[in-house]
Amino acid sequence: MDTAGIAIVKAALEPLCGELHDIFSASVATANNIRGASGLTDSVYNSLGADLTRGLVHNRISTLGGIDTWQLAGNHNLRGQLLLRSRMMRVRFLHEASGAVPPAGGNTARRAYYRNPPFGQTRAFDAESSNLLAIWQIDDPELVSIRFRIVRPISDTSRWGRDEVDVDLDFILPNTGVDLSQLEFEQVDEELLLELPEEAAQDGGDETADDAGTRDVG
Amino acid sequence: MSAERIKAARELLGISQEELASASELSQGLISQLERGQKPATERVLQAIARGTGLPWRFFTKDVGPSTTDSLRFRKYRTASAKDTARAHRTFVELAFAAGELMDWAGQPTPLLPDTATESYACDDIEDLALATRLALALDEGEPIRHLTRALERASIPIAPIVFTDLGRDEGDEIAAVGHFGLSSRSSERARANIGYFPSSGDRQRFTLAHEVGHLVLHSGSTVTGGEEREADRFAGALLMPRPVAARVLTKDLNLRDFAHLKAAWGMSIQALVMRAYHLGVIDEDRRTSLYKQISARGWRREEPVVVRNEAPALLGTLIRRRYGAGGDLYLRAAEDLGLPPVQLRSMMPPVDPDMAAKGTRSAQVIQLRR
Repeated sequence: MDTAGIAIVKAALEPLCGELHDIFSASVATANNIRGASGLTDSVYNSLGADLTRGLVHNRISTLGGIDTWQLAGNHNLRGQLLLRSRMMRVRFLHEASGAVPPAGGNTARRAYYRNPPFGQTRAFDAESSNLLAIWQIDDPELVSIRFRIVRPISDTSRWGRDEVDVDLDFILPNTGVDLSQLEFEQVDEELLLELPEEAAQDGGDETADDAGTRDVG
Repeated sequence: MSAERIKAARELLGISQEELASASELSQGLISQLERGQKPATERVLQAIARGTGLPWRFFTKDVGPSTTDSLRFRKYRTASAKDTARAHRTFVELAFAAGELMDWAGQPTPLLPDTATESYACDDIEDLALATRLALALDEGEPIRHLTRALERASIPIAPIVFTDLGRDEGDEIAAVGHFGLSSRSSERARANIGYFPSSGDRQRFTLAHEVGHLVLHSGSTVTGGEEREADRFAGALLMPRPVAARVLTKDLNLRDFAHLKAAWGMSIQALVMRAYHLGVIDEDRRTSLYKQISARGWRREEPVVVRNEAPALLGTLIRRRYGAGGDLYLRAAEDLGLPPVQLRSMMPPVDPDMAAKGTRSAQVIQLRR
């Protein structure tokens, strides 16, 4: 197991934690509203929901100017392709209601995308140039929470008789990035300036007023 | 007077007539008769109650008057028990009396809050009054309030944490334990105003204070109509994030992470910011519901990300030290004079951190209070 390579991939994905969940979640909610307003809520139009969501996500990330170092890539007009790139690493988003990894199929470009050199046989920069898949599914329709399964495929062919794709990295993207827990509202404690009448200032015993009969206290 | 003070003692301590009778070695029947005024409270009986409860003698002789109780406002959960509510009210009334004595002694001016009283307010009125309140508190209308407690104290509004010290709980979320958020009062002649809060997270504390300021500005002297809590909530949002700023930073596309960053900038909870966006019509009800569901799903209802530290009051702690001097028996001496148990005085008027003045000078904008 190439732990260094795995660490490189996970570190690169960290800025997406939470951010992607929020963007997708909001987009799914908006897509649902649009479908509802159009009377297209029947399950026969489910693919429309996924298409709308992809478009809304693409638009949102485009408006944001990317997420950290991750930028939109690919051709969204190509059946709503959603691809993010950070330096040499790429993540392609695929919607799969079951959460399973879809096989590469016959498309040449997709087959090439699936052919990552396996960890352990890689050179250092191979991990940095990983082609990843983010399989997204609606985890809880009521709460509109989204689950992202991140995999690194290493083969463009499914094993004979099975739909499973060979991968050497497979994990669920955490919902919250670490940065939120480090955010803090900056409190600035201003000075409390009390102006006391002379007799009150003298009653205190252990403290004395300044010449103007005022003192700064915290 | 004495009959009322005996009942007040029970409310303050959260005990029944039977418990008071047992502590004072008197009969429950006698306590009942005393409270109903069917028997006069002799000095001997009052001394027995004072001994049994540990309350200072002054507690039974002082007249807290109606000016605080008739303007008392509070915010609580529906599930709060009647006993805790009575106790919270009594504690606050006694606090307001003690704070008034200290403020009068120190010759502190009356607060210069916007003066208004009407049956109900339009949303625009509340937004305008929140801006006017910022001006009265010498706060910039376009900047976050970095320390709301201090801003209010500098405007002669004492702030006090209310903790029921005898319940044996660890320090923490008093709101969850007692079911109350905060209380406020402004005397009918509008001479003195006070705010008490039940300690919780820093963002909740700030919102509670802003909410109570809303009551002070909007509802002092007005009769209860039922819409006051909603109005005070709206005011709190408008005070913490004025409409001109909100119009700039709140947009319909914000996601929870955006709200978290706004929380770090403005010291308002994510939930309060979502509500602010909804109140201003930036997001619709569906979006608000969706965001709240996401907040729940992440467990942020109970604990949100982004640290907002608690603000420590300083005014009453400073005044009590000025009046009664330093030393270990400071609160014992003050207790006899102000008529509250020393432990309770210490929790509501905590000693001031001597380092605070130094810390506070970092970016202090000092404004001289006028007498």
